[in-house]
Amino acid sequence: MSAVGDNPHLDDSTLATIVDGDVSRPEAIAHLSECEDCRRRLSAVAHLVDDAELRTEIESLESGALRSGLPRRWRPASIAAIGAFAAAAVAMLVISLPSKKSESSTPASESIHREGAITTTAPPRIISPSVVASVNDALRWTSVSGADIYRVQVWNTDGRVVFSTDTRDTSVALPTELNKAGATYLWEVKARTGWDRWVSSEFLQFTIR
Amino acid sequence: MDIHSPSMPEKPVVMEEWRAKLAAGDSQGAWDAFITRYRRLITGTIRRTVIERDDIAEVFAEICAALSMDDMALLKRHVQEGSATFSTWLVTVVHHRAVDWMRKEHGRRRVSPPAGLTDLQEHIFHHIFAERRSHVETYELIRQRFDNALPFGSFLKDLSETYRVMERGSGKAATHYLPGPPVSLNETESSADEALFSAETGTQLAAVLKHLAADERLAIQLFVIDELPAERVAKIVGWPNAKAVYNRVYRALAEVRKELEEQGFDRT
Repeated sequence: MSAVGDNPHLDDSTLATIVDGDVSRPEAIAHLSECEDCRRRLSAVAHLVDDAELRTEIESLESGALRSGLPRRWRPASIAAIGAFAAAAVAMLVISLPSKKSESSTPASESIHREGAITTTAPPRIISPSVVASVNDALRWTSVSGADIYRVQVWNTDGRVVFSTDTRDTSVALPTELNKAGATYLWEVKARTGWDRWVSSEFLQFTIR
Repeated sequence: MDIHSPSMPEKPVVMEEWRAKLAAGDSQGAWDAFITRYRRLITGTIRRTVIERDDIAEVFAEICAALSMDDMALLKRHVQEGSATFSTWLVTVVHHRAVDWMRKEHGRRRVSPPAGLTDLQEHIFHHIFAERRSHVETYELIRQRFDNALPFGSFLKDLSETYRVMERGSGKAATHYLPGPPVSLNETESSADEALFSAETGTQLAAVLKHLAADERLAIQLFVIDELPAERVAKIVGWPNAKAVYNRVYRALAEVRKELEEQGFDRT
């Protein structure tokens, strides 16, 4: 714990253990009751881990369950699965909840950005590339009903965004300078389905042959 | 007691793929596996911390760079020394770095207000979130520059709504590193004088709170001011359950009220 000496504040590890309920640190509790900075950091983290969506994600990770975000090994059978999933997604859209409100039908006084809204819009599914790509392969994904813009972002393995673009199509070419044999990237595509509402695909990795 | 499984079988320990690769010295493979597994948690934390949506990707990139640096030294340190669950630790680290990034960036460029604010609320947003002014300062500036007839009670309502819009968009974590949320609308201040009066009593209150035990003082701060759920407060301060929080906090507040009255604090 770092609450004395050069740094008067609690470090991240200590704060995390306190949020988790490790109470074997009475000196940390005493510090928190006196230090507004550390207390505000603690309560911010506590709010985050108690957030419904993050809580679900954390529980899934901590239970050891494999996340669907793991790179998929696309096989021909997966293509059939995509079709079935897309059909199910359309059915879900027909029978379920808040549809995208068009600008013309939204009363000016009604905010689209409501507290606690849950979207059931199916996200875009990446078609290709996944795992391996050829030079000059385009990035392709399924369309999302009601989406007016798709935002593609590509990261290199250092975590830097190397390419980002918005498009109305469901495919985009990778810039020439990135099309290098042996290069590995992570990418995702987001579909805009309403004002400031986006649904994201999985994150997939591919290497260019 | 859980009647459905009175004797829980021991959970098998499953080493995550990235940890196994890290232990085997395969840093690249470990990083790929780590970011694939934890990408959602990282981006979800960032989304609920940053104010500008367009900053999410840049903050994500910076955080990835920090976590992957020096053969994932930061992650290795937690694996070796950390006692918090990894996910809680990761959320803490990501939130801290996202806040640091915002503090660095906000000094250099204008922060855009979220949609859904009125003109007055946009000015409030700018003074508090971009310029980091206090609530009373913000009220005085708005009166001087835009509307010198603005009642303080109206200002407080708009102030609360501005915080609500921020929290709806970015979550409570986004507002928690900034000047605190406004006083409750149940308060009866109707002028800046009353707000200053509250500030003075705030000082008196802080002095009285110091007489409480550290865990009671912290529980009041977390439950009443920071609005954490009682279960979480109980976990943090080491009390048995939420009921203990309700009982002890309200008892402590009664003692504080009594102490203030004995000190002659009288608003009438």
